[in-house]
Amino acid sequence: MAMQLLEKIFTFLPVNELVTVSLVCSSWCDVIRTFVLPKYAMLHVRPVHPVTHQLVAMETVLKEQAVKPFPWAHVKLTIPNEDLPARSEFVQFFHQQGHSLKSLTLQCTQLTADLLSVFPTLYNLESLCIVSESESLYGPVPTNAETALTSLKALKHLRLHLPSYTVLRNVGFLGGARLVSLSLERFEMELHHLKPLLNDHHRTLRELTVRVEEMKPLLTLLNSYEELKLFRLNVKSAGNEDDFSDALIRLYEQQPQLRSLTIGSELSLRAVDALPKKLHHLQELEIIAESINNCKALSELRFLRRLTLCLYDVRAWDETVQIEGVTELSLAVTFPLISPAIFCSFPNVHRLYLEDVDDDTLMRDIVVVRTLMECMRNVRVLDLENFVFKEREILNDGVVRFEEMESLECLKYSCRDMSDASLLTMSLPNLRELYLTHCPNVSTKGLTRLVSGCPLIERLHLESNKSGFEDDGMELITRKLTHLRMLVLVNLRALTNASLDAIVNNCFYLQQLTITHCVGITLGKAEAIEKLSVVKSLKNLVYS
Amino acid sequence: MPTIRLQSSDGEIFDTDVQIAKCSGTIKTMLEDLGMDEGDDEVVPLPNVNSAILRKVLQWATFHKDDPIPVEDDDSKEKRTDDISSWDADFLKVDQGTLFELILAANYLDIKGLLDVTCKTVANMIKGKTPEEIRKTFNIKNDFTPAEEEQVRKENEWCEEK
Repeated sequence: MAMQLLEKIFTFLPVNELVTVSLVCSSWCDVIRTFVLPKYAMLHVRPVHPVTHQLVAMETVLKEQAVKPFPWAHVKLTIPNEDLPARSEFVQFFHQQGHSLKSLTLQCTQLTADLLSVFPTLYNLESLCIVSESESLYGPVPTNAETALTSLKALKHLRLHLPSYTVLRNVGFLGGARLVSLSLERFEMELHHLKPLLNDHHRTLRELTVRVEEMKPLLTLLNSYEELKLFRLNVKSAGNEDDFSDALIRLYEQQPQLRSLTIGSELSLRAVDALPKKLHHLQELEIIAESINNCKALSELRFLRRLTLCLYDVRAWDETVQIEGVTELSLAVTFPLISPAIFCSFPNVHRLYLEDVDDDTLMRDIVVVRTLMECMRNVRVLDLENFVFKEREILNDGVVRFEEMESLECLKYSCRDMSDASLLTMSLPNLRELYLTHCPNVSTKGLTRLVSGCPLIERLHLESNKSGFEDDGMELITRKLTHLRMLVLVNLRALTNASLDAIVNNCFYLQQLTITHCVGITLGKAEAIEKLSVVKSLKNLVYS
Repeated sequence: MPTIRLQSSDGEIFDTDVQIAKCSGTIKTMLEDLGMDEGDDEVVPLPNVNSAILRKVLQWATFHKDDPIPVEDDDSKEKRTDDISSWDADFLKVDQGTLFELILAANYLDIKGLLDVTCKTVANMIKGKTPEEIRKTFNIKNDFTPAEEEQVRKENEWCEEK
């Protein structure tokens, strides 16, 4: 197969997978090394090694990377102190590679003059993300901010996490760029900072993510730009505010081309009702509301694929409504009685996330469980971690759970009384991911069935077990689940140091390992890390 | 409805709805560049696609003719392979040889949707497997020494998901 098409196929694989795939043969390895990783993966240089937890000489790594023949397009640097940007290796790296960079993420305490002084090499940079943990919001502005920001001529995407006012106070210097997406997520944006950005870039801006104190002034500001044409809008306000329905409906009218809309503040019924009438191109929608009066209207949004609803009450849901396009559904319902009718409306859902109040007084109606499981036969990803079941009742009533969901690939499941009986019925040949965040009564017997019923598990998360789940269970898991890539063990009290041996002896492809709150594993941190680092494939290790 | 005539590498002629044929970027450009009128009886030759594969491609294009035009290619989008529709999944239940020929045809004809979904299908055949299992699936010989393997692992130490 031609290189170009292998490259195309490999771009659909996650980076961790590519590392395994590059071990297949030298020609695949060459394609991945020269075309795929430099273009699609990210080089992340950080001060602490993710497996050995030892300090990394970042200068040395940057020096090595600076001379790579296939320069990285995406780089992330975690900058531990203000000294690093002044070092010659740092400057040299940007002089060699800066012009090839398409995206850059900087994790730093402050945007210092030294750091900004490499920005003139970034004239091809399209995406900049700055994560700053600065305490002093209005610290001194570096004198070279103008030169630095005006050089970012190709910049299209800007993401700022946490206050980095150096950039916000100098946004005027970004005027030469044409911003397409803007994300200001982690902090509430003041409109007087946002306004100059919108003034300069509203003609090109297509995606906006912003958090504000109040919704109405933001919407009014957005509505004042006639030439603004957004495809993706994600807004959230602090709440406790005036009704913003009129401004929002006006926004629907001005932005009929919207493809993705997320509103993280509660909508009035009027604003919900108007939505499907105005926004015919929506593919993704996420809203919070008391309920939905006219669920039939949603079925007329023919491009809608992803729907996230946080509702107080769905008792009035009409089960005859068929919303066929939706393949991803997230549903959080706060009223303690969820109506099973809503599950009947999504025949083509592949991913389902369900959440409700986790409360012992909650009556988990057996009809709800039965309808849910029957309607979701084709689901591939089922996340019920926050939808608490009472296992005993379900099993006693003989309700078929996910046993017949043949295409299930990922299951996140939680029930306070999970026992071996639950695992005995689990036979899911395509399951790749399993998260059991409560498995109090599970023992080796259940695990034996699990590893034979679900042999393809790659990612396994097990949590909360007091006794029963012992080292021989661990031996079984590591020996039988040969595809294991991620293993998370939390609060499994019966495990001892022998479990570490099982991991070291049996896992050859494990990439992520987390062991915390397992009180029986007494090996000191340094010793444990040294021991587990023997697993060659490991890319990330958390041990405490 | 206006049609055009497509000719496969083995000479078979396919009378095709213009709208369906135009989901191929290659054919669309050809029609525009050559200034072919829709009434013309001219034949568009496709020397890189045989009739069996062209028939499948047209079957796919017919089913997907009303799909929304994909938004401009966005690099930052998550690379998902679990979003293959059940129709596509059934359509692509073919032997490996046919699947690879479909990829080549989709690439040559510049049909983004078909290229994506076929490549995703192959990616799914690779996903989650050990290197040895992948070699077996695609009939590939291992040409690495253990030292080279170690070198490959080491090189990848600093790379991460974007």
